[in-house]
Amino acid sequence: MTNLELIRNLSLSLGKSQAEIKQLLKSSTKIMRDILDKDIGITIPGLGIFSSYFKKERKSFNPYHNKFMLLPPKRIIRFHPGSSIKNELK
Amino acid sequence: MKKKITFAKLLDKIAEETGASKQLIHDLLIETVNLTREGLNRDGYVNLSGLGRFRLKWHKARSGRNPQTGEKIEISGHNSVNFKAEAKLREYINRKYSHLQSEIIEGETEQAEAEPADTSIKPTDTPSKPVSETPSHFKWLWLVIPLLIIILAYIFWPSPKVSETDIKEPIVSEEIDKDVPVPPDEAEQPESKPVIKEIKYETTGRQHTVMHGEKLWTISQDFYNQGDLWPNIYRMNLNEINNPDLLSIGNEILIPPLQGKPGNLTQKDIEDIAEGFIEVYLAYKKSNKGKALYYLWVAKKWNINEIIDKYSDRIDETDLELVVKIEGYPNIK
Repeated sequence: MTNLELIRNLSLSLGKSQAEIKQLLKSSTKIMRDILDKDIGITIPGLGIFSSYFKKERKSFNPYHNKFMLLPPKRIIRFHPGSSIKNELK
Repeated sequence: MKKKITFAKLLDKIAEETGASKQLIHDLLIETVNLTREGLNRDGYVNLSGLGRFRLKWHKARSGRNPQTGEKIEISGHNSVNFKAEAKLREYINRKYSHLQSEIIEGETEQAEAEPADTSIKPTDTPSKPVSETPSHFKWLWLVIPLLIIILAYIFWPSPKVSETDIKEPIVSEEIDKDVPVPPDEAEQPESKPVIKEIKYETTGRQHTVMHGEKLWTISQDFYNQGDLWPNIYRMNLNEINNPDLLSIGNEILIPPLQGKPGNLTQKDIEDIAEGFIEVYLAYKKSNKGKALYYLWVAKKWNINEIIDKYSDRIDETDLELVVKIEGYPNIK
């Protein structure tokens, strides 16, 4: 399902215009982004948990150069699906 | 245990920021969840703009063992939900490390793979030995004596400003370093952990780091929900931005707060934004761009004579006369 389809379906079921739904979705994802940025997880019932974790800088072998490389540190967003969605899609 | 935000708190936050009712936000998010489940069932993937992409992954049936009893079990094929964050989101979360790149370590080939594991063990072994040999009460003495000296020196010294700095530092650092060496693992960790400060938006404005593909218009769209107000951002960052059409990646810019909301601006907001428009006019005028007149026209149409007077010596008079003649009304307000 594409984002456009999602917005169309949402506007049909909630009875709001598509532009309004788009704006609301955009601002709510932005707030979720800011929360994840502060290293706080988000629980959404029926879907799962979003959280972020920090990965230290590390050495890794690069087969193309045949040499070791130093990879920079980074933060990764991960999603744990909830048990209800897991069972439904089995 | 890591911090987590509950669904109710998330709803509160979104409702507060957008001004929509809590019920509407609740319905929106719950409906989004239902639709994602439906989409995953039907198509096997859902794209959620702003967050990322959910995808179903099929795991084949395989045989495994029960780790407790060692019995053989047949694991049937099943689906799992896979999530990948959007490129923009990943870039935003990692904006602190955007200047870092992977580097080749010279002189190490595949055969040297075992070496780093050996070196990592050595430093952890060495600090534990001297600590275990010295008796515990002696360790306390070494810590207490320098502290006593410092306190006495602080009380009896005639000019404390000079004496403090001279005596305090060398004694404390030498003694403590000898007795309790800091393990290397502990010393490295706090540097690598990201520290994020919270800034209150209402009073001071928000700090923003320019990312790839951003313009002042898009930033204004993101923060004010209205792209037209970008001169207000430009006004606050005259030192940082030379050309309003050109931002460089990594620029730290300040986004000033609005008293009202877009569509319902207060008089002070309009004055600020008009000032921004005049600053943009001046910048474009400098580089001889025709669109400079438009910005002056907008500022003039708002009838804020104080601001025009403030910049009167820098605004071209022929431009002002020309602008007055143009009819119509800007549709920004």
